[in-house]
Amino acid sequence: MAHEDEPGDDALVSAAKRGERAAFGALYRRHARLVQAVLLARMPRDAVDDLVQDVFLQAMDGIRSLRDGSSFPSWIVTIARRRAADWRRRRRETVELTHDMPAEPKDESRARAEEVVAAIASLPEAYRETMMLRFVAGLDGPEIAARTGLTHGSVRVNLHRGTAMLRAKLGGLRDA
Amino acid sequence: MREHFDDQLWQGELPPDLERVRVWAAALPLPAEPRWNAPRIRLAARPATRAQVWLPWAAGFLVLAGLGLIVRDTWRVEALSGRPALSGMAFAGRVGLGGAVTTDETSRARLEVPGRGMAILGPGGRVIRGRRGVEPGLRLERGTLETEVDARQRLVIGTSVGSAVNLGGECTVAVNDSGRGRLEVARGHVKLESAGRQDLLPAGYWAPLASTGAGVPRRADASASFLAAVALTDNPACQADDFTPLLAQASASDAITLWHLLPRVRGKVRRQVAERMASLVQVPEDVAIERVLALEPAALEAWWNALGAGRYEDFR
Repeated sequence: MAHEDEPGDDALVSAAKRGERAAFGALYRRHARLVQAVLLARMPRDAVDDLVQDVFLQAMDGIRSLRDGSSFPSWIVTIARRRAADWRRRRRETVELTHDMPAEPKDESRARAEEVVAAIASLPEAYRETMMLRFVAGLDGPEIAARTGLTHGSVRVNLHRGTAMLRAKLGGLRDA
Repeated sequence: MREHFDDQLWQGELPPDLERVRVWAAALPLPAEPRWNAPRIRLAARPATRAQVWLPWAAGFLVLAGLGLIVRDTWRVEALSGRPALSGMAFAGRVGLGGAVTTDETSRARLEVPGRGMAILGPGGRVIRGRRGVEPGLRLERGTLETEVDARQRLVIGTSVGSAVNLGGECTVAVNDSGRGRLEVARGHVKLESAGRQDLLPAGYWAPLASTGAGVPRRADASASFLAAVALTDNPACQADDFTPLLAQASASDAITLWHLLPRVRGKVRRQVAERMASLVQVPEDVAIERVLALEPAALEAWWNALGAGRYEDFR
């Protein structure tokens, strides 16, 4: 996803290993959407933003263990999945606060985005991650297969069935 | 048409309605970039879950309990002289099930049988810890084994000839490599199971052990001539005439020996033995001699109880 005149993940990871914080910023801007999509497929929307930051901070701590900088996207997806699993496990062990927090006012475009994300999050779990990666992170089929480890056939099926279901859910929105 | 749509999706293209949805989704704000240079507050390690706290303790407890059971099920072995050797299931001066104690010509070993008593293996002996059913036991391969068992407890001492069950008391079993030897009871009573028979030995009696089975129990303080007469009948090939001196020299206190002869002899000799018994001790009048000759268990038990050597049921 890097432009030709931008350094690749390999160079950014090398710089990050040398302690250049700007390189972390570049990696964040390039891959935060990917991490966000992975987390959105696994946890409630309101818990995602904090965890996106946590995932990158954890990656910063462990960047020296990453040998091949070009595999940064797969590596950070693995961290995100693990953190989401930890979060779910911990949530079961803690008492959730039931006191409602006042909702943050949203503009129209953000409200639509939230509705789309909520619609994808309501799809069956099997399609959720593929659809988040397609619609939120903007990945194409081969990229989704590479990040998720799914076969090309599975990604095709998930995209086909997922989009059909999403169309049905967003029927009203589509024509808005 | 469907394939074309799938290919479109695969290649990252979307029909206009879904492309609009994608654009909407892309408007989802990203969280702010973390402050990379901010001092990190490292959270303490996540508190362990209940299972993580208790599982190691539970596992440790189970291991300790298992070790405790193993140790509890072992018998302590003490060297009374020399250096007895332990082998098989044995460690740290204890023998487990299947463990063996061997003594050379200069050593003796004492085995503690928890809750039951103890056993002393004499020089040149070898004994293996075993059990029969749920009963603890020792298999004496060679040498002399003295056992002392608490009242109302049992300890099985196996040999190649048969098994002696110490039913509470003191007894000594001695066997050589060929299996010949003797069982001697000093206190209490012992049941000797051999060749399908059960012999009952009260204190003061002994019985020879041979590859053909155990001989009849006899009093340790019986007259030399009576012991010689009994010895004649230890030979399985003995003839009817060989019983004549035994019957002639038997006294009332030898009735236990005669009682044990009953199932070992037949026909005319069995009748002679039974009649001799009836002449020496007061046998129950309500038990016909014919029933004894037929070896009816109830009749034999009634005659045993008349011998004054304890109740028959004490030997069960």
